[in-house]
Amino acid sequence: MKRRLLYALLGLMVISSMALASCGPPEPKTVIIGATDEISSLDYSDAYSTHDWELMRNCNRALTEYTPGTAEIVPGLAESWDVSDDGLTYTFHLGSGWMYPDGTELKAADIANTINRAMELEGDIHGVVVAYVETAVATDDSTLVITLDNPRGDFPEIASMAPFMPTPEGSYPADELNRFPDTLVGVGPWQITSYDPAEQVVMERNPNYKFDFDRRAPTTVIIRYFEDATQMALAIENGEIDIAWRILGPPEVQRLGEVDGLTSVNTGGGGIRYLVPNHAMEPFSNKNLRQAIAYLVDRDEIVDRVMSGTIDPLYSMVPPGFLAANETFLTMYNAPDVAAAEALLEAEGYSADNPLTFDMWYPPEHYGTHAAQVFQVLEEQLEATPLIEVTLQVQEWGTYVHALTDGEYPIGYLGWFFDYPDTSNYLDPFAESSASPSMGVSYANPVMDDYLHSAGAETDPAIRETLYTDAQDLYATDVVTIPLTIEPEYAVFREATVRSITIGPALVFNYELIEMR
Amino acid sequence: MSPLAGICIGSLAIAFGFIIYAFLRGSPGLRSYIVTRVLLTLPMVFILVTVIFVVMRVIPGDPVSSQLGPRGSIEARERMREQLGLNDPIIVQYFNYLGKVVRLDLGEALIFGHRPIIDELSERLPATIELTLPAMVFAVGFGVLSGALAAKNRKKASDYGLRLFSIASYSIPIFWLGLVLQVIFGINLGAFPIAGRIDSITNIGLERITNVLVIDSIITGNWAALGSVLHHLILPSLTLGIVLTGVFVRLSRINVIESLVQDYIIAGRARGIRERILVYKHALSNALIPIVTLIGLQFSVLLAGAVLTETTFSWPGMGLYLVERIGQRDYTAVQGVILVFALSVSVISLLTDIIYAFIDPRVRY
Repeated sequence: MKRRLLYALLGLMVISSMALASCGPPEPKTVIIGATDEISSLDYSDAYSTHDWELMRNCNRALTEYTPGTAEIVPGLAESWDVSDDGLTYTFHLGSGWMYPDGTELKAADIANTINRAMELEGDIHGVVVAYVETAVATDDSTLVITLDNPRGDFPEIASMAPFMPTPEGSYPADELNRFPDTLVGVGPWQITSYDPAEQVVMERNPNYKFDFDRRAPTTVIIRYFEDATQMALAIENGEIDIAWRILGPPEVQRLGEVDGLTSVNTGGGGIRYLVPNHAMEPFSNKNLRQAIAYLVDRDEIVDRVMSGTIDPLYSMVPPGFLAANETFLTMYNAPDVAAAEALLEAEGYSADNPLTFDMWYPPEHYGTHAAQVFQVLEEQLEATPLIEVTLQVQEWGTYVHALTDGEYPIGYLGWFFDYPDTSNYLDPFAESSASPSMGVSYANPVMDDYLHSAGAETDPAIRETLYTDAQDLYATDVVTIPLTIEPEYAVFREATVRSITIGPALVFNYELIEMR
Repeated sequence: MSPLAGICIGSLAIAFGFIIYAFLRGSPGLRSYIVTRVLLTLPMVFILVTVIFVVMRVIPGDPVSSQLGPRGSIEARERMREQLGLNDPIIVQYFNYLGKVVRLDLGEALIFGHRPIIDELSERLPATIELTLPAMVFAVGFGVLSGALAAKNRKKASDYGLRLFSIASYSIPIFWLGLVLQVIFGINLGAFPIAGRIDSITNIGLERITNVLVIDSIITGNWAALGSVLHHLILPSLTLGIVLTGVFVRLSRINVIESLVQDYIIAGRARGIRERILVYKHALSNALIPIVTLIGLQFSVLLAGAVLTETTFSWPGMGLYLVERIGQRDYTAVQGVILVFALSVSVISLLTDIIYAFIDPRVRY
C-alpha cells in the first residue's frame, strides 16, 4: 500500500513537472541573455558601469563607437569632426536618418543636453565629463561643438561613452537625475520596454532604426539576472537561457567548455589584474623593494598552475592591441630571477635572519574564487628567497576596497577594465600624480606626469606612441604597479537556439548582431 | 498603493483584528499579556534598529568605496559622501534615521540608483513570502504526518528511517542541499528550472499586481504563468522546507508517542477503533498544541533559511537583497530589511502565543 502510494506520488510529480515544463516554450526570435550584473542607473547623464553602458549602447549610439567585434573607434552619430588648431574645440557633424522609436529625428541639441546634464547634475559620471569638457553647444540640428578644458588627442575615444549619447529634451528632468525611467530609448536598434532591476530587462526593436535588421536577428532580447556565475552556468546547461554573458569566471568557462551543445566565445578583451604596492607606506615606498618583487613574480606559472592557460600573462598595464603596448616588465625583469631580487634585498639590508616581512592583501571572491590560488602561488614565488616572508591577508570586498584605496595596505590586488579604449586609460589612473592616490598607489613623478600629459594632448599617433613607450619604460623601472594577468571574458551560447554572436575586445555586445537559429 | 504597502496593511489588519478579538474575548490575564507584549515590542524594535545602525557603521568600509571601487577620484568620493549625508556626525545620522522610521519612511538606498527602500522591498518581500509560505506548509505538513507515522511504527524500520531523515535534514547546509537538487532535478533530469521565479518569456506577459506571482497569475487568469511560477517554486521551496522539516518530525513523533499511552487512546483501542484513526485523529490532534508554538519559533529560522535559499536559487527576495546590500555597505537597505524581519517575527510570535491560549484552555497568562 505504502509502496503504491509512493509510486503514485512519484508518477504525479513526474507528470506535473512534464506538464509544467511544456507551459512556456521560448519564441524562436526571442533571445535570453544571462548576466550577473545589476542595473545602477539608466540615466545617460549619470551611468558609469559596464552593464549600464551595454544596455545604453544597444538602445542608443554615441558620437563615436566601436566597430563590432573590435576595439577600434569609428564615427558613430558623428559622420566626421574637425579639431581646432589649439586642440581645444571639436566640431562634430552628425549624420542623417537617426530616429527615436516615436519617430522623432535626432538633433545635435539632444547630445548637448546629455553632456550638460552630466556636468550640472552631480551623478556618478559627473567627474569624468567635467575632467575633459568645458562646454557643449549645438550650433544647428546637425552640428555639435564641444570645447575642452585641455587638449586631448584621445577625445574621439572618450566620446564613445554614454554621456555622449543623445537624450531628447524633456525625456529626463533638467534639474535632477532619473536613474530608473519607465523605459530607455535612443536612436539605437533597441528600446527597453519593461524591466525589473532584480529580475530581467526586456528589449524590443526600435521600429525607426536607421539600418535594417538581419533576418536572423532576434526580435526581442531579455537580459536575465543571476546571483552569481555558478547559477548562470547551471541555467545555460539547463536550457533556461540562450547566452551566458558577463561575468563567467575561468572555472565556469572551463566546465561549460566540456558540455555538448554549448559554444564558448573568447571576446579577446577582459579585465587586467595587478598588484598595488603602496608607494606612501613602508616597505614599498622603497623602489628597490618593489623591483625585487617584480623580479620574483612568474606570471607564466600563475597562468599554468591556476587556470590551465585560460588566462594570459600581462607584462605591461597596457594590454596587447593598444597603442604602444609592449612587454616592458618581461624585458626588464625576465622573472623569475631570484638572484637579482636577493641582490636588491641585500642592498637594502635584508638577510635570511632579517627578512623583509609584509602582509599581502586580496579579496576572496570579488575577482573570482581562483584569486586564493593565485595568491598561494604568489606567496610561493616570493618566498623562493629566504629574504622574504609574506603573510597573506584576506578581506571581503566592502572592507577591502575602502582600506586599499585609503592607503591602509602595503600591497594589494586589483582589477581594471577601461572606460574608453585608449592607452591613456591604462596608464593615467595609476601613474598620473593627481589620480594615483585614489587607486591606492600614491605614485608621483614629474617626468611621468609630463609623458602622460603630453601624450594625452597629442593628436599625432606616432608621437603619442613614442611618449607612451617612454612612459611604460619609466612605469616598469619605478614599478608603479605590477601587472599580473589579463582574464579574457567569455560568452557561452546554446547551439540549439543561437548560431553566432559578435563581441569584441571592448566587450561591446551588439544584440542586433546575434544570429538565431 | 505599492504591493508592499498592500501586503503589509492587509497582513497587519488581519493580525491586529485577531489581536483585538483576542483582547476583547480573552481572559483578563490574556488582555494584560497582550498589552505587555505590544508594549515590549516597541523597545525591542528600537533596540534592534539602534544595534543594526551602530554595527553597520562600526564595520570597516562604506557604500561609496563599495560602489565606486578604485575608479572614483578622492574628490568624487568626498562629494558622494557629502550627498549621502555620510559626513554628518553619527548622532545626527542616527536621529535623522529614527525620525524617518517614525514617519514610516525607510529612506533611500545608498547605492545602485538610490531607489526608495520601500520600493525595493515592495519588489522583494512578495518573492520571499511566495517562497517561505509553501516551504513552511510543506515542513509542517510533511513533518507532522511523518512524525505521527514514526510514532505509530515506533522502533520499526520506518521510525528509524524518519528519525535519521529528521536529524539529517536539519544538519544539511541549505546551499548544499539546494545545489544537489539543482544538479539532480535540473541538470541531470531536466525536470525543473534551477533559478528565478518565472520563465523569462512568460514573465513579459504577466501583469504584476501584488508581486506574489501565484496570486497575480490567478487574478489575471494567466494559467501559463501560474504553471511556470509553480514549476519554478518547487525546488527552492522544497529545499527550504526539507531543512525545516526535521524539527517538526521529531516534535510530532515525541508528542504522538506520549499521547498514545494516554487513557483515552487505550480506551479507544479497547473499543476496537482502528489504529490509524487513533493515531492520526485523536493522538495527533492533541500533539498539535506544542507544534503551533514551534511554528512561531521556527519563523525566524525560516527567514534565515530564506536568505540562503534565495542566494542559491537566484530568487530575488529579501534574503538575496540583504546579502547583496551587506556586501555593498548599503546601510539604509540593510536597516530596512532587518526592521521588516524584526517586526514580522514579533507579530508572528505574539499571534502564536495568543493562538496557543485559545486552542489550549489549560494555558493561563
